Amino acid sequence: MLGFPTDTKHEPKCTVTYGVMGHLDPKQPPTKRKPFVSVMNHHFVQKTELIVPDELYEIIKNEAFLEKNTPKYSRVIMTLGEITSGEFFNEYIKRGNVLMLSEWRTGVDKVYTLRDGILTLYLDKESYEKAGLVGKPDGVKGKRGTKPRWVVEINLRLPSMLHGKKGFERIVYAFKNVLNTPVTWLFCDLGKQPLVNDPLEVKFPHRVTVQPKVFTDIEVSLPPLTPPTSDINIGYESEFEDFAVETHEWFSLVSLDSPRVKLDDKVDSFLCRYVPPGETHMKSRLVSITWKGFFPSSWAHNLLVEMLQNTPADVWFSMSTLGFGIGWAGDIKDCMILKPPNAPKEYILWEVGR
Amino acid sequence: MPPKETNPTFYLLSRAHSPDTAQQIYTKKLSTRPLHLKPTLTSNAQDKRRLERERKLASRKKALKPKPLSSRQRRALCLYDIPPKAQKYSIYGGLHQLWQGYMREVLCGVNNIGEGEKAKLCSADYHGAEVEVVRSRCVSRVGVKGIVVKDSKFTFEIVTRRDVVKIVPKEGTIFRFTTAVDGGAPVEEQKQEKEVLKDFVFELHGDQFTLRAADRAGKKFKPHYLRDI
Repeated sequence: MLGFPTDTKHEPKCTVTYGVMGHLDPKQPPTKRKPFVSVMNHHFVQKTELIVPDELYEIIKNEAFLEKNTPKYSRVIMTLGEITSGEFFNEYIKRGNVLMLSEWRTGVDKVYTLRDGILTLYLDKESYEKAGLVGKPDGVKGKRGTKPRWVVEINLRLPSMLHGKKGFERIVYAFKNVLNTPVTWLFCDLGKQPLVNDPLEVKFPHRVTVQPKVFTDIEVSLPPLTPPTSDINIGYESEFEDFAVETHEWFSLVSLDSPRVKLDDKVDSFLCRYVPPGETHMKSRLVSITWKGFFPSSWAHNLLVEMLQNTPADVWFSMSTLGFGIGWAGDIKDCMILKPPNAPKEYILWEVGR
Repeated sequence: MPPKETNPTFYLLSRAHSPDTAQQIYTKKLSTRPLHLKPTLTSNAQDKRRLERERKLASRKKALKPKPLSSRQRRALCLYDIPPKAQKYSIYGGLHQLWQGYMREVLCGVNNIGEGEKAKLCSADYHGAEVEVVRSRCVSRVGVKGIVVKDSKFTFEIVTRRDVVKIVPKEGTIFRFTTAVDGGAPVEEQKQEKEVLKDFVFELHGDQFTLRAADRAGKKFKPHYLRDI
């Protein structure tokens, strides 16, 4: 009746943080404070994009930055039973460190993830009741009519997880009788050295080395990227909100390669009323570098630290990471970090999530 | 009746009075009088209520019907427990064979399972059946497999291969039974006509089965819309 949006409690929200980073020690990069912790929270990263001005791109190119950063991942078809048995189990789970994610359709299929030795199964009610493994309900609580998903977490690195032990036998029974269909997995080995006899070879994996896609010569009219100061203004809150929303929108349009943000854009205002934010615009050239694949959070964090080290104090850059959304209704996990120009330790962080 | 010398009361009296007086006091005043001891102290409110109830029952003049045992008394008497010596899987092997034969008679042939067969399955007796819990709202029950030793109103008592008796409630659980039934006409190529036995597997919703085996024998199961599973 009054036009209020209904049920926004469970919808994804965007939080904006404007703060100051601590000192960046290259040997012990920070992980506990924002913005680094938000990047670490994206456990399975799907896409990382850097939007940098031209001069910064020259610096990065000279440092052979892009050549060093080519992460690898594989795609393989396996059943859950194969993961918990044989050489694969011993080498990759008990001794090594891997990241795995199964293929699923949002809202329909079951998802399985493996991270830090913890295998997490997201099951619907029927599979959960048949499998016999104890878990917790997951998802929106209390809404009538929605069936909750069930989450089962199994720590495979515990000493009690060996063939022959009672707890493990239950897991083997479940994987043999109930969850026994082969699924496609994305696999990323986090170990330092590649193994000599790779147990993954038996499953004929499809190995991919991710090369970054570089789009140069994006000519845009750059809006002011410095957030409003809080000294005098009484209307600071709304000003900052406007700045945050408009800047995020502008960066999203750049990454979508929209013609609206280009320098020579002349579109009839009847068709599109979009105008880049801010009063003053500078003509500049941007470069966008994108990695798309399956990456661990440590790689994205590493990339952020290296960018911060290599950027001079008066140049800006922005980095955005998109994670795989494992939520029931397609949870999006997205974060963008902007280092404003002429402010060496400041950052603005946009986080989208539930 | 003159008191004996070894009676401690009389002994105490005789220390204070002369023998005649002592005897008189004893017979007239002491031996016929009831001695009220302090009643049993109950610290528990539940026990107090129980004593009150029993006192009221005892004071009723009407002769009461003998009541059935309460569950506390039943458990104390251990009438329905299976003793540890009898909790062995091997003992019930013979019972299982009997049940398989019984099932083969009930279901004549795997090829024609019609409505009549299904009704017979519903009212069949399952003591001695080999059962496996396939799906349950309580997740820890899944995977229990063994021979049914007791089929009560709400539970199945199952003895597993490891000689453990497990009590599995029927509510919210689906059980799977396997039996061998006549598979149809025996193959004519072989010289000896062996009977072809096929495995017949069926699942039972425990929710709909919360009846005693005796009651189930005559019951007609109507088709209802079940809770969405």
